[in-house]
Amino acid sequence: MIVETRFGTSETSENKIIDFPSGIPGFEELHKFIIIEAENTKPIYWLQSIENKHIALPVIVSFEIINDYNINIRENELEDIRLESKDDLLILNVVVIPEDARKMTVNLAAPVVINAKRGIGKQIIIDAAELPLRYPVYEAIRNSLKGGEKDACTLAEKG
Amino acid sequence: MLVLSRKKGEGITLDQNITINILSIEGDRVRIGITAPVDMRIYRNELLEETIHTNREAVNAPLLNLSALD
Repeated sequence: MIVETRFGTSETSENKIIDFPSGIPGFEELHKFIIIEAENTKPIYWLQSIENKHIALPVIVSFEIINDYNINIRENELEDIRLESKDDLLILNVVVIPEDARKMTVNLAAPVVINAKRGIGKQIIIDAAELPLRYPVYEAIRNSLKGGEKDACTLAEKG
Repeated sequence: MLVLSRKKGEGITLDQNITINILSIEGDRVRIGITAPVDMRIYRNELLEETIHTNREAVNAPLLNLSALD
């Protein structure tokens, strides 16, 4: 299927659509998203609404970029996304990119947890001193560009 | 909204398994102790408000070329 995105039209398939039953905070009315790659922005991916082409949140796979990122997801939160196996869990964090991209920050307190197999997602909030809402992440992203990283789009593909 | 008045040392119980105690009051700062099931997510309201804020900011990201930056 063809969807309209911030970056133009994009080819996707039904099984790549991630349902956010309660939306995403700030965009509660939007429920269907896909993860897309944009040219020259890796390892930043885009959580693109397929209901509103203007809404695409830049996201990173923090575990691969920030060495000591460690979060505790509760059992009931995993139930919310109907997760059966940890292998299907994809965790993304939303990045805020200002005009000066060097000042970009990532929200470590509100990870987006996704059941990649079933295509269900939710942004959860964790109140912990070591998880800032605006963690400067530019350097870590630059460093990860020098090494290898996994592909979030591949991770999100359902079997 | 239910409104209750509590003094230091007093508490409130919600649904048998959540208790909220007023530990101390100093000026406009109230310290609250919460006992709840481990699965229950508890966070300060501003975290949700700030997350709404950062999400809305995030969609304004300029199109960028990361590999062109140093």
